[in-house]
Amino acid sequence: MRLWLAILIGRLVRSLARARGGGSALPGRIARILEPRFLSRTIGRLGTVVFVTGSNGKSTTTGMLVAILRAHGVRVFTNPAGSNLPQGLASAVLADVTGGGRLDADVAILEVDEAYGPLISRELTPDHLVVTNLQVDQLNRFGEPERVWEMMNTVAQRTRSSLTINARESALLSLGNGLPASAPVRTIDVSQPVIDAHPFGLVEAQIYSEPYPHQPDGSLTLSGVKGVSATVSDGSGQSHSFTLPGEGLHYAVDAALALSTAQMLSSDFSWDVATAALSSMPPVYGRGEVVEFEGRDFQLIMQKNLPSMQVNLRSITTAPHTLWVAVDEGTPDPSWLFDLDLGPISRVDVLTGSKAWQWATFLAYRGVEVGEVVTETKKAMHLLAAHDQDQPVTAIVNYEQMMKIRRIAGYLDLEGGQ
Amino acid sequence: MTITLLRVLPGLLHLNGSLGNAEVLATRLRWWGVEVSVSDLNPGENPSGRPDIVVWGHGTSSMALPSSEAIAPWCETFQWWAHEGTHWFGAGLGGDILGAEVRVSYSETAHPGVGLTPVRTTLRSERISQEVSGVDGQGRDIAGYLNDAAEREAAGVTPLIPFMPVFSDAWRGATAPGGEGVRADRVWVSAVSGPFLALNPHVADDILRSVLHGQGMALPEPTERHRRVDVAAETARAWIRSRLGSR
Repeated sequence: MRLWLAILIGRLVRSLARARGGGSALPGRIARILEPRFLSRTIGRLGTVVFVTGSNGKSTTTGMLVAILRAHGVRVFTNPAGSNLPQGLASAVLADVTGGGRLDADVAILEVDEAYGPLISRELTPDHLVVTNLQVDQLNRFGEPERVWEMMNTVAQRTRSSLTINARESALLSLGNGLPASAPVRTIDVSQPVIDAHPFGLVEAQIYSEPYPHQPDGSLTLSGVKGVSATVSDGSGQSHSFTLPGEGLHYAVDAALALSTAQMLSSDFSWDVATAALSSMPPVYGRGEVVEFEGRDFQLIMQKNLPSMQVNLRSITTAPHTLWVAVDEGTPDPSWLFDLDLGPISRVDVLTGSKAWQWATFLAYRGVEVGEVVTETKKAMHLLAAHDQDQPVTAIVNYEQMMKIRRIAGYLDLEGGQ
Repeated sequence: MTITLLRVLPGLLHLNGSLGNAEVLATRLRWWGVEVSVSDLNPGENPSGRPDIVVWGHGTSSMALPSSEAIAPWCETFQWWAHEGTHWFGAGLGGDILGAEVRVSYSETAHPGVGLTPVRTTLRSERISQEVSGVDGQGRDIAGYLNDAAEREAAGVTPLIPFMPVFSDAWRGATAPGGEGVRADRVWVSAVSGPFLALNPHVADDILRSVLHGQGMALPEPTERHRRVDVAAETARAWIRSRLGSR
């Protein structure tokens, strides 16, 4: 009765929220208030539940795994990119669930926020856990990566069947110490030449952790990454190549983790089907999306944390014609800027947002010229749109500014497309 | 004349832009036309030649043990350097290691520090994470982001930022007695995150004034580049003050 009521009211709130053009989390929040076991009574009824968590790459890996499994004919329930808190998961359920609480799927592939993993896993036990990486991320929120490792470890201890990770991250290997005895640690590897070819490497957090004393079960090795092309070698020595949704070692690691997990989950796994599914994925949201405003293109490059920002900055290979940086309170402590390698950037045309003057201080010490500081986003967009319309604006933005820019430009949906 | 600047354990103590403090000191000197040599001291290496300035960055709690082990063979040398006139700046864990000892909350073991300050630090799990703003002993405004989970005990320590009217109660919870950080003869320590000296260049200039004085020089007048970056930092501090004031 409580589940039925939660679905009914949740759907009603969802319809109202969508009619008003937003509110993706509210329906799920209400459903969970009405039925605190909402996730376990809906998603938990599926045969297999997979959590994908980590500092970076959760959305990408989840999207890849979903694409590969669906290409194999597996019916997958998943949550939209970034809707990785309990209320986001519940809202995703409301979109698909029957009145009786059934989801038409064989498997749930869920992107799970690393901080909310302990809470979600208390309600919904994962069968399989995929951890993309442990990086220095959101220190204002977590303090240090050691705390994030503890949260991941809590989820690992509750995982029934397997943990899949990158063997090159020793801190992630040590999560295996907390797994039930019946659950193996499954690993992918990255060949040393591949790591050496990427100047920032895997950018994993260095923390002390107890070594994992057993031999992990690993069969895939990422043996080649060049531009958007990647190759993995399987246990039989066969190589399989595919196209990535963007340049970067991190996308290739995400793909290898997705392939390894799909191999485990799909009884009739086919390399041809899997690599074709990976190769047809659209470019990743928030990294290079182009938004048009008043006749000028704004190419958005996301500033989330040091590792992802550094990787995203690599896409800037020559000094941009016009460079705009817009960062606000969504980045409470931008201290890590001083760890950035700015590459070819020698001038920032406009600085915007409440952290603009902290950026200005940093850039001055790096000898980077700053055109002007226009703290208000809309005013800055008007200013930038008024000049050199045949050239795009390269915009380094945090998530909150990205959403604001998209709203100002008239992009009213949440994720991609107009 | 060349000013020598040493970064200690930059592979272990580099969290959250904290090595930016070395960059700020070196860059301000270079803008004055002073030649600066920056080098690193890593585990297992032998310190050679007494530097003018030693900068310690911040690290995560699990870096307390390897850092303490790495500095053990160097402590005597460091104390001699301090006696001979070297200047020290430490941020976060790096500042704590300049003290008497560092403990982590889950272990009984005390990791010995360099002993240049009497501060005993326990890294505990409860964390304060927010912007802070206040006034230093000379009435100059100070601001930054405090992301700290330490309890510190010390007697007779002069704080870097004494308790004056401050704009964040958080500052009180995470500092040495009587204020934030430590200010000794040629030692500056702050728990404020990352590149503290970038947002607070007057403290950077306090250090550089003392270093140059030791070389028989006065701190030069600010160049246009100093003025420009100091205005940016001052405006950034004003924004922080304004955000805290509006809460």
